[in-house]
Amino acid sequence: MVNLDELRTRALHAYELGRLRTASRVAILLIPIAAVCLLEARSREACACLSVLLLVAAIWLRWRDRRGTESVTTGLLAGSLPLAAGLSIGQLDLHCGLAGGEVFCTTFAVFVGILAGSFIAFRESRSRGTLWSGLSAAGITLLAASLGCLRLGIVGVAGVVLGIGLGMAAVVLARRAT
Amino acid sequence: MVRLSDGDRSAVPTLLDQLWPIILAFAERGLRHREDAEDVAQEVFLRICSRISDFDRERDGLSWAFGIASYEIMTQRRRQQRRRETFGSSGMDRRIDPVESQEEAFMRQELAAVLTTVVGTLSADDQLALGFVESPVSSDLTHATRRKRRQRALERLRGVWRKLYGEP
Repeated sequence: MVNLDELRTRALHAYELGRLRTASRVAILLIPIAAVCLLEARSREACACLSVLLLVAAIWLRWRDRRGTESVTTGLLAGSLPLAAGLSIGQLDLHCGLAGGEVFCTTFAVFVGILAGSFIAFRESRSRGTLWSGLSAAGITLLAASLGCLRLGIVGVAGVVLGIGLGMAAVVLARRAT
Repeated sequence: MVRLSDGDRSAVPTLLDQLWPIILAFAERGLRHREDAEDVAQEVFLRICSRISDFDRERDGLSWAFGIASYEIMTQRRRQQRRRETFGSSGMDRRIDPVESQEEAFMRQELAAVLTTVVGTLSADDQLALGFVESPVSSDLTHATRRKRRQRALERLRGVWRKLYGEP
């Protein structure tokens, strides 16, 4: 005769392991991205730290529930633009700042952030996401964007953060107005 | 199943209550053996729980569960088939068949008679040491002494057997 209580406990254990295995698949995508960031000699420690943070956050959110999985997907899709842009601009040896020619880089970082933020807000409103899922997606985007924009300096990262906030706010306000 | 795949852990007991009888009945029909069916049904349920985060909510949950159950039942049947091939059907029949044949009963009786004859040639102490007779009084011998006496009695039993019937 099967002990159903024991089976329930084992089932829950198998379920958690299964979820963790599924959630960990995101590492296949994130590890190469982190490797590209780590190839650069500048700010390698910060890059490693951000990569670990991004990986842990993504796995944890995906393990938690389906909404978390969707947030990670949205966040990574939105973050891929500032990530790619940051890595490309970094090759030109540009540095973001608030004066002189560095303003162009800062403006570009804010613009890319606005695009990413708009994408998150648009996608979340389409899938009827909650405030928590929107913030989770924004957090993942922020971490992914920071990986790319690290070499642009702290002003560059701040510009992307500001842009994400502005983009999200703009889409949310526009949706409410219509 | 949709709730569980969405990450609602509290759905496990509900799923167990609803799905367990169905999976068990399906496994019993597939294997025709209660104990094997229970083992396979448990394996199926654990596998469902393990893979449910990959479950596509657009699909029918029961069909998905039956797909996993069918695979596990087929695997179990293949395993049984291989076991039959390894042991051979006659060997399996002999192990399973609880009824003794006439030949086996005759051999057992003959062996018992021979053993009684051989044991009869041993002294009362040796018979006591080997446990063929019970001691009338409680013995206060140590475990090591009893073990040595049993060993010596066994050697004498082997010697008598060898003398009468050759190598045991």
